[in-house]
Amino acid sequence: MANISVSIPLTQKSFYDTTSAKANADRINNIIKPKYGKIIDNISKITNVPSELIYSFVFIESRGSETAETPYAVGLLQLSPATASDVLIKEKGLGRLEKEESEMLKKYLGGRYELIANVKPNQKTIGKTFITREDLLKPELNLLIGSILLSQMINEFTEDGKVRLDKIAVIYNTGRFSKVGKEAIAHSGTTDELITKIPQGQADYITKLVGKHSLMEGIV
Amino acid sequence: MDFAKFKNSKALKIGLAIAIPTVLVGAYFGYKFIKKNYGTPKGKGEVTAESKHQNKIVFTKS
Repeated sequence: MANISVSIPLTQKSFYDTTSAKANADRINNIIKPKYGKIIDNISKITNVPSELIYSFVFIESRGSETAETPYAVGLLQLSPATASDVLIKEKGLGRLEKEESEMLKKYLGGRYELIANVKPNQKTIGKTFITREDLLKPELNLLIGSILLSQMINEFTEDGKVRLDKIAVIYNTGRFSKVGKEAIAHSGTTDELITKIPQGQADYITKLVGKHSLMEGIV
Repeated sequence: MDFAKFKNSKALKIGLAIAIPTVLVGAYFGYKFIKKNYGTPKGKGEVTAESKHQNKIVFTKS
């Protein structure tokens, strides 16, 4: 396994000041880690997504609340049932679903796991949302599916040996079919250049994740 | 209406001369519009790794 080094922060722009950055790191270390640390470490091992990245996304998306709900997304990593279903079908179609992941999915989905098991190579969709909002309120399942999504994005957005966490942040936030998501996908410049050409909300997401005083900087 | 007469009429020829290019040009730009706004975005890449464990990310502070 080859190492890919990612230097944090990716930009000197910041969302948080030093006081907030310390409070955020404290919340991750004293509240989120004691509650979900074991699950996150295990999922990080299975999916090969660094735990620091999972903690940071959990913080931004839900501040560590497994019951966090909006009309569109649910749980620790704020996934929608449709996205969660598509992620699993895509992962299975690509032949990337690991044994441990399959076991965990069987545990939570029961008979519905058959829908994933029957996916053919390179199949991307089954045209059906089989993950429910209730499923996504379960921390381990939510973290597993969200981390698989992150792992797909890490693979897709590793460009010239660099993991574009800035692009991943934007696309996780807005989806790849949004105007901003498409802009981020097509972007070939630096993180700072991306920040200047996207709306404030997505620019803030990048600086929260990988800017100066960011969540990643606080826990790496 | 005398269909045979209509078939050879100037009106039909002019109508078709306008309608056919209009439909073709409309279809071309319509296709481009739909592809641009609703098509699957082609990124820098797609998920290509067959395993999640090909690379390990190591974070360092700069």
